[in-house]
Amino acid sequence: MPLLEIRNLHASVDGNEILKGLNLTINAGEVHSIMGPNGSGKSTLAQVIAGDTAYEVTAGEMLFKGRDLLDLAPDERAGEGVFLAFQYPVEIPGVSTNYFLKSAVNSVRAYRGEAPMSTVAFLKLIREKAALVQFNEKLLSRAVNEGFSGGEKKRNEIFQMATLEPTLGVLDETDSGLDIDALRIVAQGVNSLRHEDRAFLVITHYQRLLDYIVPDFVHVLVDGRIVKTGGKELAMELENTGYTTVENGAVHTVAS
Amino acid sequence: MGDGESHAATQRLVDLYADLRASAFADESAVARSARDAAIERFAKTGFPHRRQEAWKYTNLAPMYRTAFSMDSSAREIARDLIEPYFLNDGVRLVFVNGLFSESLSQPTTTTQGVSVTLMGSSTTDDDESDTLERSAERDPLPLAFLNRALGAGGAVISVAPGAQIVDAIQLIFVATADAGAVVSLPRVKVDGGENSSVAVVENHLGLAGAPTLAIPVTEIRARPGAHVDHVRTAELAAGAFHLGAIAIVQEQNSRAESCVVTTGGEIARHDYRVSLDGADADCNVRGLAMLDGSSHVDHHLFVRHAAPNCRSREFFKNVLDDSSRGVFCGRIYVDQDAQKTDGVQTNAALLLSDNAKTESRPQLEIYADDVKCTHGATIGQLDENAIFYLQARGVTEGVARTMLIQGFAGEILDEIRIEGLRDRLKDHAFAAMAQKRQTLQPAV
Repeated sequence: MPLLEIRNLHASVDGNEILKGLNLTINAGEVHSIMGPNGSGKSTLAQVIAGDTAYEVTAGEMLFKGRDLLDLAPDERAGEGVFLAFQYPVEIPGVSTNYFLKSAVNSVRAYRGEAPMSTVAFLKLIREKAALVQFNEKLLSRAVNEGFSGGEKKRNEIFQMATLEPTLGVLDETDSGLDIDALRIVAQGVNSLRHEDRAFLVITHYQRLLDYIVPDFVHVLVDGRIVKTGGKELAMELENTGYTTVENGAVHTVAS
Repeated sequence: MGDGESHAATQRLVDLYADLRASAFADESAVARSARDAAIERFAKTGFPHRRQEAWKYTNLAPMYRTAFSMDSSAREIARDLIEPYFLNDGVRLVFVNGLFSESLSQPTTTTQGVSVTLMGSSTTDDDESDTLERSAERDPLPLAFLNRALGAGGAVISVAPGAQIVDAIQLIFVATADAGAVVSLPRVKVDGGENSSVAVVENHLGLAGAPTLAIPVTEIRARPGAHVDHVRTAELAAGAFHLGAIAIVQEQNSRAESCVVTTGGEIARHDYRVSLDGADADCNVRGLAMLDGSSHVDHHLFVRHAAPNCRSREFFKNVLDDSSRGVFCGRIYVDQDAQKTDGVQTNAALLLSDNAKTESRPQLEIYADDVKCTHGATIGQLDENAIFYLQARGVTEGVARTMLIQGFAGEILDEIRIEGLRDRLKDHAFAAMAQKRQTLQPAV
C-alpha cells in the first residue's frame, strides 16, 4: 500500500483556490521532490498535509497508510507519523525546546498507546539525535527558536524530525535562507534519516538542495497541479530551462 | 454609588476604630493610642478610595462598600494540613489567621544569628526620620495604609543586623477563613535590612473559600546602604475576596531591593507599590503576575521615585486574563532634578485568553533631570495561533499547546523568583488550576 496517496486535491485559502486537483503517490523508502514557481501551491500542499486549518480542502482525498488524513487533527497526524519541517519556524518565547520536545515525544507515544519516556531515556535520545544531525545541544535549553539564526532554526526542524522519527517527513523549502555550508549540514541530517520504512517529500524552490538530498522522483507543481514528473535529471533540466517551458507546454509525465 | 457609598464605608470603619479604641486597644500605651488616633484622622480626611479619584479610576470598589466588615476577636484554629503545603522551610514562620497570630501553627524562633523577628505590637513606633511609608508615598499617598496603621493588629518586625546574610527565607502566612463572616484584617510588616545584609521575606496571603473577606496588608521595607532585600507577596485568594495591599520601599545608597507580587483568584486585588530610591547607586526591581478568570479584577499601581543619581529601576508586570477578568496597570516613574544618570525601564504585558477579558494600561514618566534613560512599554496580545499549530504539528494536543504558551508567558515572571521551593509551588498552583479548567492534562513531561 502506498504511504501517502493524494487524489484530486483541491484546497483554498481566504476563498482563493490554490490546489486545483493535485495527484501524488509516495511509497515508503522514496524521496520525492516538488519544485515549482512562486505561488504554485508548494507550501500550501505542505500545510494541508500537516493539517493547517487556515486552508480549506474543498475536494479530493488524502490517505496515509490507507487512513483518511483529512479526518485527523494536526496532532493526530503527527501521531500517525507525519512531520512537517516548516519554512518559517515560529519563535516561542518562554517554552524551552527541551520541554516542548519531551511533551511532543510523549504525546505521540500516548497517541500510539505506548508508555511515556522517562526523563533519563529522553535525554539520552536527544543527545543521540543532536549528534546525528549536528545540532548544537546548548540550544535545547533555550526558548524554541528564539534568537536562533536562520540556519539554527532549520537545523532545529531536522533535529526535531530525527527525535520524533516520523514515517513521512515533509520539508517545506528547508533550503530557503541557507548558505552552502548550512545547506550541506541540513542535507546530511536528512540523509542520515533515510530508511526503507520512511519517505520524504522535499519541497524546494532551487535545485541545489537536490544535489545533496538526491531524490527518486521530481514533480513540477504549476498553478496548483503537478504537471510533470521525472527522475532527478528533471531538476537539472528545470534549472537550465526554467519553469515557463513546463507551464506553457502540454502536461506530460514520464512513463514509469 | 461613588461618593455616597464610599463615604458610608469610611464612616463604618471610623466607627469600628472607635469601638476598638475602647476595647481591644484600651490597654495600649498612650503613645501607641495617639499614633492610631493620628492615623485614623488622616484616613478619614480622604476616606475610602472611590472611582472619582484618578488613582482608582479603573477599580470599582462598590461591591466592597456594601459589606459591613468586622475584625475577628480571637485566633481561630485551622487544620494544620490545610497550610502545610505552603511551608517553605524549617526556618522562621509566623502564621496569622484572620489577622491574629496563631502560636500553634507558627515557628517564631530561630537560631540564625543576625536577624530578629518579632510580632508587630503596639510598642512599635514609627520614627519620623525613617518612616518608610511616609517617605515613599509622599507624592502618591496611600489612605488605606493609614487605615492599616489605625486598625492594624498582627504582623511582624524583621530586623537584619549589618553584614548578616540570612539564607533561609523568612515566611509570613496570612490565612482568611470561611467561618468568621465578613472579616477585615490589616497586618503590618516592617523589614529593616541593615547595612550590607541580605535577607529574603515571603508573605503568603491565602484564602479559604467562604464569606467575602477584606485584607489591607502593608509592608514597609527599608534597605540600608549595601543591603539586599528579596521580597515576594502571594495573594492566593478565595472567590469573592478583596485584597488591597501596599508595599513601600525606601532604598539607601548601593542597596538592592526586589519585590514580586503574584495574584490568583479573588474578586478585587489592588497592589500599590511605592518606592523611593534615596541613595545613589541603588537598584530596584519590582515585578508582578496575575492569573485571573471569572470576573476577577487586578490593579497594579506603582510609583517609583528616583531621588538620587545613578539609580536603576525595573518594573515588569504581566497579567493572564481569561473569561471576563480585568487587569489594570498604572505605573509612574518620577525622576528628581538631581537624579542624573537614572536608568528606569517599565514593562507591562497582558495576555487575553477570551474576547471578554479586558486590560487597561497607563504608563507615565515624570522627569526633571536631564541625563536619564527611561523607557516604558506595554503589550497586549492573544495566544499565537501559529505557535499553537507548530506545537500541534509535533503531536502536542491543542489544549496542552495553549497551556504551554500560557506557562511560557507567565514563566518569565515566576522564573525570576529565586526562593527555593516557592517558584515551583507557585508554578504548580497557577498552572494546575488552568489545566484543570481547560480539561487538559499537564503537559506530559
